[in-house]
Amino acid sequence: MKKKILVIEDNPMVVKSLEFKLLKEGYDVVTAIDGRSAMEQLENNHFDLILTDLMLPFVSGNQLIEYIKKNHPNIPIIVLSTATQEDIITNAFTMGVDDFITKPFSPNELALRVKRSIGSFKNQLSDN
Amino acid sequence: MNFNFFELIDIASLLFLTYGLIIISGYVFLALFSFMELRDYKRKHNFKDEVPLLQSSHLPKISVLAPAYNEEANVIENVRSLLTLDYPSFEIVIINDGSSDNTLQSLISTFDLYLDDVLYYPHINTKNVRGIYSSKHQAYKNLKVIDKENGGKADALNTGVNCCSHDIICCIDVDCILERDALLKLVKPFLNNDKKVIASGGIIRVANSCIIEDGRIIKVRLPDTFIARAQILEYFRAFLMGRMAWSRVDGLLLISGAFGMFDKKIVIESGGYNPNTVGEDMELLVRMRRLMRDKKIPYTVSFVPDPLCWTEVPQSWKVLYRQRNRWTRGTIETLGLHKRLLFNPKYGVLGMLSTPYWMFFEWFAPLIEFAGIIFLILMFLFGQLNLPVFLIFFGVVYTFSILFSITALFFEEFSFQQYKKPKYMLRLLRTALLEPILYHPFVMWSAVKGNIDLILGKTTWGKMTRTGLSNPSKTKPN
Amino acid sequence: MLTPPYIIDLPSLLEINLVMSLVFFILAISLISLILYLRVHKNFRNQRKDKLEVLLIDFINNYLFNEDFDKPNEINRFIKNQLKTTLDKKVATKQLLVYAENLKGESSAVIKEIFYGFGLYNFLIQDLTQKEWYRQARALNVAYQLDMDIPMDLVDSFINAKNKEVRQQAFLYLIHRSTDNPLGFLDKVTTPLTLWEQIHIENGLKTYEGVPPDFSRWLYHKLTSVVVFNLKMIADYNQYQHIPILLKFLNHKDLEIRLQTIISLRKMEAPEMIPILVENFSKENPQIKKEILITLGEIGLEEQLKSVAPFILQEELDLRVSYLKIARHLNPGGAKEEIDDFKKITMLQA
Repeated sequence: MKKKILVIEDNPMVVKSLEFKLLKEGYDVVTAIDGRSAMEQLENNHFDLILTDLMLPFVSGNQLIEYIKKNHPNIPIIVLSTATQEDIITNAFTMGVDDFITKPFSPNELALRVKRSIGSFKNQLSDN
Repeated sequence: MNFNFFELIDIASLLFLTYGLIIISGYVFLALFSFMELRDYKRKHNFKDEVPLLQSSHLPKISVLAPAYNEEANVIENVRSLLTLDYPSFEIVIINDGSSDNTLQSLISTFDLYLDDVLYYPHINTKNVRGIYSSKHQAYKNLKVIDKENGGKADALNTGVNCCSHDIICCIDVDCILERDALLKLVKPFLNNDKKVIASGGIIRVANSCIIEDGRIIKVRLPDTFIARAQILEYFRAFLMGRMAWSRVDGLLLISGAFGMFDKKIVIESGGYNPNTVGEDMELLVRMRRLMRDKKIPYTVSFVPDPLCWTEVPQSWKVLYRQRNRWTRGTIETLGLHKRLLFNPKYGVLGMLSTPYWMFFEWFAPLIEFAGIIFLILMFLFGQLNLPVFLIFFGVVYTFSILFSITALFFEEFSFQQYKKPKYMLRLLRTALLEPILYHPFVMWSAVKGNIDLILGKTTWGKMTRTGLSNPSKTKPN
Repeated sequence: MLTPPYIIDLPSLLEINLVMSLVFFILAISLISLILYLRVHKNFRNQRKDKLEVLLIDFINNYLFNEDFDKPNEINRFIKNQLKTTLDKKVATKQLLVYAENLKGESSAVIKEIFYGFGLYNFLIQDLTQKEWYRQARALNVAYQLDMDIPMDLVDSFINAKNKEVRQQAFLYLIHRSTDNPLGFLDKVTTPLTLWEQIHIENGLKTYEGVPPDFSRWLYHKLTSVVVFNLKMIADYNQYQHIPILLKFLNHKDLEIRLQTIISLRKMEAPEMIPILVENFSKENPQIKKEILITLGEIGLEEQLKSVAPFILQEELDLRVSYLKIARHLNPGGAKEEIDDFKKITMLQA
């Protein structure tokens, strides 16, 4: 079965590009443009990976990550953000995200990192 | 008797015509200049984004001063929202102006404040400061709360000026909603000007009925009540037409107390806010301008038309009446204190254009209008009112006021277009048709009453203690 | 109704009023029509924009990620069907900018390829050669963000443009496009740099990938603002090797330069400056005196601070406050008496 990825991002261009690229790579992609609709999606679907921005309308990225870690602790999270300040990145890792990609990003590199994180998720499951 | 009366009509008609001509030329000037100013501003800002600048450590530090009087209900939320402004380095200074409720206590407990021994020099005389508080938490390290005896808004702001740390101050009403990048946008003129900038002001928008979450405007909506919509039109006229045009010729006399940025040194040098007038925001700017002019230092006052500050306007006629009454007194007091400027060529635009404009358009207009109405009533009583004549006069005044509002609406459409739905625009058009009949006379009467109150109550007013800041003294748009 | 006698000699006034009412009315109506037209026009434009944006995103994604995409034919078809008006071209440019802003690596070159493919380069050059400043500024901005080659003599002519926006965009372009001398344009600058421009240049340098310039090269520039900017950068980039020049600058005749020199040396924590500062203290103006006090507080000693205290004049009250704060910071409790005295004075005055 195809792996399912939730992409949360408010810039339409980035969302569409990610969707396109990840579909091409053979994943199933669901998109959400803000934190609130992302939460709804999380309740209705099962995901293998979450790719999220930090600056989101309504619910901030940090709040969202906290929520995911609490309710779906097994889904790996990759943050995609313009932030380059160290404290923001460190903070994200402290909260338990698996990877941090800064914008501007290279689509090929992103695809690789997605592959790696989904792989680690499989390992996690077999460990349990 | 009759003969005199006819002569009076003659004179009145002539006066009417002259006054009309002045008003029309004023209108043309406002429309033209504000169009040019808005066009330039749009061109400057339509292709780029200043956000990356927020990482620079070379932006000047800013002190945000917000007086609070009996704001217990909202102060915590307001402070939280202020603390999340996007700017690299700023402090929030809340001045508790001797509130009789729990404003101070709730601030102390929420932000974990302690009495801090802050050293400062009281450049401006103020009421006694009872204490200055800082937070024990790192997260609130840029919050300062000053507790002082009640002295009114001007006195509270002066205390803030004395105690704050940075050289650029931003004076706001604690309950107004600022856009996240408001400080950056307002400070830009200070940094990007060949002349010295002593102050910059921003546009005030009406927040009534807008959807607000966590101290942010989420969705702009047109107010449901007529009274608030009429004020939106007034604000459009005042800001998009008035202030834009005045800023083009560098003749701005007023930066709203609700949202303005100042060079602290100049504020101190000119003596700070005047606690003895109800128009402290206008009076300060006029005094600062005078100081610069007297010292012969080239300077300018800037105005930023982006919608950066949102505020609730009065929804009740009673509060509106009090507000306008006070604005009128403030205007007259300021013009009185600075009558030397009037028609004084030494002060350039300030003396020859700005102050005369304020005298004719802000102070005299309601009085002349009122006199006109009294005159009409007298004519009616004496049986001299000729219906066609009346209709013609009424027609010219009415069509003119509508034209004025519609021009302002056009500027809104041309510039920022905050009311996106066509339905909103139609409702505003309808408001523009009704406003001269249903709203304007009330505002005019409030202003006339302000004049009367000022004459009658001069001695009793003296000091403005205990008026309280919760009265919407803010956002004077004229 | 009988015409009362008095309006007999006033009909002209009434006529004027009547005409004016009509004029106002017609103006109001035409403005309303203009508003409605603008609204409809804008809506139409926005619809077109939204539609085109979707098409563009789809096209660019295919171009970027779809290996089976017939690039030359598709691009021609897209130009023929979609990029007809100036608005279309503007929207396409903007969308490509959004891509350039968010993607890097192998995609950047492809985005440029699309930009050329769409024929937008000519459009850009056209804007650049117009005399309206806002078109020039916009074109420079696009060229800088997409990393485009444009005629250098053209850019050079914008370095001292009358309009600030044009100037600023030209600076950013030059910094961004340079491979070895990002601030070379400073040699040609003849208009003072505003603080805002300085911050933009500083920000532009952050993304410059080459070796940071040696900022001392412009320390003898004839514009004070250029010197001040480079003094700031010397501290930001920790170019300690220039401390000797800066120490000399502590006696520079220009006040602004002296001021920034003190701040920069303080940031670089250069204790060699202290004796000079202490010696100069009495001669300086309050603004510089204040910076000296702050410096002593950060990298000086209590005795040094005390040694300048007698030279704080009676009327320099702000300085007195700064002095007491710093004294307290260096030695909590040390300046207690002085602080108490000061408080008494201010209480009396208040």
